[in-house]
Amino acid sequence: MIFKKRLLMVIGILVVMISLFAYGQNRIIVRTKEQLIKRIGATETTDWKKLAEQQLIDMKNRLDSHYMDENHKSSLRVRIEQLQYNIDNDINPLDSSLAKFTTRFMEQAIFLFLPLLILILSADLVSGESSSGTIKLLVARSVPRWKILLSKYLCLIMMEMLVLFFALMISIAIAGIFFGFGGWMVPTATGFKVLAGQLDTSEVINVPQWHYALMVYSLAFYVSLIVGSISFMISVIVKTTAASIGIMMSTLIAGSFLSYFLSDWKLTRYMYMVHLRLTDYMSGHFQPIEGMSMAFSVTVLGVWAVCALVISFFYFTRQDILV
Amino acid sequence: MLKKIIWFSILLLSLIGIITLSAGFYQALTITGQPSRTGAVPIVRNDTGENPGVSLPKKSNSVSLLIMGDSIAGGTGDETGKGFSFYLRDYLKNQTPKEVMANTIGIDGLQTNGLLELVHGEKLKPALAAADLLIISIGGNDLRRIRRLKDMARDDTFQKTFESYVTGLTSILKTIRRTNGAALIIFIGLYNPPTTEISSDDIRLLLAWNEGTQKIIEQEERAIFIPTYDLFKLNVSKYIALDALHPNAAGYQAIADRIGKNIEGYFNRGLQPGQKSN
Repeated sequence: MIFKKRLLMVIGILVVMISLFAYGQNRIIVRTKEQLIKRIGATETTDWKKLAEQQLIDMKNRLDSHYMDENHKSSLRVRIEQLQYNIDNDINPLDSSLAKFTTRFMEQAIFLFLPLLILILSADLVSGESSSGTIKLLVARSVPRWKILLSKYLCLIMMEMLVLFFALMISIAIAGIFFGFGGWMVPTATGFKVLAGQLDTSEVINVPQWHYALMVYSLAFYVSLIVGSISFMISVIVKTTAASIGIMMSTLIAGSFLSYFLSDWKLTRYMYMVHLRLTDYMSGHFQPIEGMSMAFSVTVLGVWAVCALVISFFYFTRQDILV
Repeated sequence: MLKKIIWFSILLLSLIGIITLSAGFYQALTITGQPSRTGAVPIVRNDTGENPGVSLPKKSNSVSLLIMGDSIAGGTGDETGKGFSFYLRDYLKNQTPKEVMANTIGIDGLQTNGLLELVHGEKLKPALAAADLLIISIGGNDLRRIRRLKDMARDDTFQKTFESYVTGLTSILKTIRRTNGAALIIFIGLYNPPTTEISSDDIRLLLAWNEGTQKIIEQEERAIFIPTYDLFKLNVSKYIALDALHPNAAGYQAIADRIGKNIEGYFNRGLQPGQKSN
């Protein structure tokens, strides 16, 4: 199986990246704590509790204010819930946890790192056959062409699933060493919406971290499917693996700076690359731009994938394979 | 045989994965879906027995306080939860036999243009019109944004930010005076919180900011600028809260004491607060 080697390479890359990420996170936390101690002379680790309780008092006071609008009140309530949970369960909000790490890693990986991994696996599914010449053997058989292509695509889906599975397992294994194995029930805020071009926090709620992680991974899988499909199409059309990888990589990287033109140039929002950050909609860390929403992004990505697949099958079944 | 097991487990994993992740996907979509409101947000007001200030008509035998601005106006950092309204009411009890009522609106992170919007808005008008004492704390958040820049662009940005702050502040004062010509305006100056790394440049800008503000405030007869920079310079451990940014209860008490000292004469000069001049 050719993809056994590829898969091992992907796993290797995952191990390295996750280790670096976990180490980095840990350093940041240690350094923040040191700074806090230096600045205000907090020498005991229980001082975080006093600070948290203080913040709780402040926030509860503000909730009583006459003049606060719904937006602020909801986000305040959510924060109060979170802080109360931390105090009740003796969790320092500065500390990271395994659950937080896993979600954070995937949120960061979803728009470039994960697509690149998928790319490694998918880019030469068909173009590899072309360049190595085995394609003649494939199509010379009496199996209909679309079935051959379909089997390759289904393999791709399974590989995408495996990548996510390994990402999860490796995250748990490596980050578990740094952060322990807990944090799955900690409440996390989500439910951010866009109202009249501004971030709307009036329906913000808390969900337990495991639930949040599940949603993040589902979005990651969706992105993998889409990127995989588009890459699959390129692989069918282009004859060499190098060109296939090159084209996909340039589109992905272009996506990073095309995002800046989202508000000025209407055309960029129909390109798939700028919609890869689906998890940002859930965490509220996005720029509320007119017309950009989770539904819109998901639809654009979906349309791209369907078109890519249609083109792939059409092309593959019609093209002449020259011996 | 081994190959079959591997294939089978991969297939099984994929199926389970697809089912769970589809559920997760659906949830992610619904959670970020369209908000159920259409845009106009009703302002929720709960009248507690302690703060009837807004709905009651102005009584001539009461002294009305309005404390507005950023998180310091709101009393963030006070571990007893009291804030200015409590300390000032406490002080004023000894100065006047009248009933003292206080309203606080302190919004975390509020900047000058935010306060401008607030004083222009309709919901604040009654409290503004009825106030005898207006305590304003604003500008800290505007200035903090500059301090995050670390290079030569700072002086330029400082100039621009300060200019728009001055415009905003003058506008705020004008708007307040339109609604209320008699209230005493008390403006709380900025101090240097220990969160930032202090450079002599930072201090210079902060002092320039305070100086500029003072010039504007002191031009008004019924307004006074209360400096806090000196209070907090050497008393960090005593007056600063655990978040290293806001004052703690002792800090708020110290500021309130200073305000009190500065307005001692105002109450004793024969003009009772609440009585409009002529």
